[in-house]
Amino acid sequence: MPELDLHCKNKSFFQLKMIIMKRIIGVLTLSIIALGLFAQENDTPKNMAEDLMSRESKLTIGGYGSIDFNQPLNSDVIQNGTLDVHRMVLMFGYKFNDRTQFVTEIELEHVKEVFVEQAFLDYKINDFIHFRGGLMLIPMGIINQYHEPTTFNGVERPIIDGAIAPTTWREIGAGFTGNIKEASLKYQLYVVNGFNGYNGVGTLRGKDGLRKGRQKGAESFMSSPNITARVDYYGISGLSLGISGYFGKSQSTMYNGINKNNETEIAVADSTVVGISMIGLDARYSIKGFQLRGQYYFTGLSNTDQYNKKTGKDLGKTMTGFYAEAGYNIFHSFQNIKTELIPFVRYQTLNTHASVTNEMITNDSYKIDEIAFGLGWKMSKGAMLKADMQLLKSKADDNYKKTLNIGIAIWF
Amino acid sequence: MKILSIIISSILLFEGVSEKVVKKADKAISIFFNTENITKKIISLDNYSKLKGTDTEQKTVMQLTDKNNKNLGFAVLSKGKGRFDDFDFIVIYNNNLVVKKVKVLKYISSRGAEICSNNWLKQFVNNSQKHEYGKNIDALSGATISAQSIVNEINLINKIMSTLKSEKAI
Repeated sequence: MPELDLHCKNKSFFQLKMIIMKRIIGVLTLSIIALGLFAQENDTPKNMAEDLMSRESKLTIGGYGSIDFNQPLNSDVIQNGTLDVHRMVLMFGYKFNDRTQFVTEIELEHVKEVFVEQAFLDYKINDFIHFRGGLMLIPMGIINQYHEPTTFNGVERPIIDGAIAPTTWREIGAGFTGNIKEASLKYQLYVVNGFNGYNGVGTLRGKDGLRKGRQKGAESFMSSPNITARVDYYGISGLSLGISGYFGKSQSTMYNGINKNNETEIAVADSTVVGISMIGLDARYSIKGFQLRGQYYFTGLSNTDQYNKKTGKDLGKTMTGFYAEAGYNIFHSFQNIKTELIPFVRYQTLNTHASVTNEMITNDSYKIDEIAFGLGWKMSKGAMLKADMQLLKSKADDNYKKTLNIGIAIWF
Repeated sequence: MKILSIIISSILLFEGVSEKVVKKADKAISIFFNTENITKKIISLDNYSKLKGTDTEQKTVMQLTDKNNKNLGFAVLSKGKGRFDDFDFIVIYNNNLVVKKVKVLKYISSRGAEICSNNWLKQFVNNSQKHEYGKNIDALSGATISAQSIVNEINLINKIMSTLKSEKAI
């Protein structure tokens, strides 16, 4: 883009990237809106918002956002609090026809980082099966799929969804999904590209497992396909049960260019790869004003001793995570009060060194316990004010670290 | 290979979507009353001043009689709104205008599909009070928009039915 070069000679590469990103978003937003307007068969001029939101409209616009305040509390040391527009996400859904739909989510994290969270095409084959392809959410656990901030308690997403099932976990792939309502079952089955485990250096590590290996659809590379699946059961009123799986090998750039007969070089590349088997079990139960939820993750990693030797990392052999949470809407029995006031309490634990291979020493700071409690006030269906206290302690710590979180959460 | 051929033949089955919903509605009505050959007489919702301003557009009210012309009850076919798609459902009433069955006939997306749970839908049966989602109707995990929508629509349908009764249309 020569025009940009002339004006921006003195600007840093980062600023340049931001300008380009903002223009791309601007063009994308305008073109999607234009597409929506163009799709209207009616010629009478209407307010654009009415147009887009009308019953026959093919375009759905939505979004969510969270603005957070985090204040570590420490009796000895002064600590600054942080305030952040943690996420601001716009969702667009476009129905080409009764069977074909495109959904995309564009995310701004911390105001400056732009990501595409989802971008997939959905085609309904029949009542029971849809084909889906594109950049999709890996259906592991509750939070990765249901991550709109008004759907969970607490300002921040649970820590096990940071270190074990690394939300927001999304990769490019294709597969099938459907709802079998006669059996009260939903299912998803996709083939996706895997985590980047090695791109000249190792990326996976003990502290947060696979998190740094997420490729997010940004010029991802694939050396072997991974497979993920999930089944939801909703037959019992108010209860949602889920089981998720993720299996495959991490990806490595080292394979690129190796002659297929060169067993030695392939073996070297194999040492930069770990095998991943992850299972998630989750349950959500709403009854009267109570909201209960539980999540369990287990990850088994193979070949970590070779991987750690090769990359100098400290990846564990198994990782586990678990939380149980209970909340109650105090205003549930008050007929005249339309808002919801929800105190909640949660116990959470994670261990990215649940087990390690023989030569390694378990790192105690990777075993973390959390107690969290707080309050949420849902002033309307999609708007919530949250405040909570998080007490975190690793096995290596003597005391709990306390953080006060306050946040605004919206979803529309 | 077998799965592939099933998929390909499914793609080739192009049916009119509304036709399919009507067929499903017929099936649900037959199963509920345990009879075949039920006559459905559509009751128009126009010309009732009390219903003016109410959204009656995508609702079909039917009076049901068996082959001996005995009144069985009523059925209302309606649409609701999910996150990305509309869905179709049916409410079956007995002759005393008590809700006896609610069934989701067609739900496209997976998001919010939890409202299809027959156990959750039982809350609307034998229940003529005004429904409030999250209050006297238990909330659902994972379904917000679709759940709120079906609750609103059922409230509306109940109101329409009692209006028709007071207007002596049924």
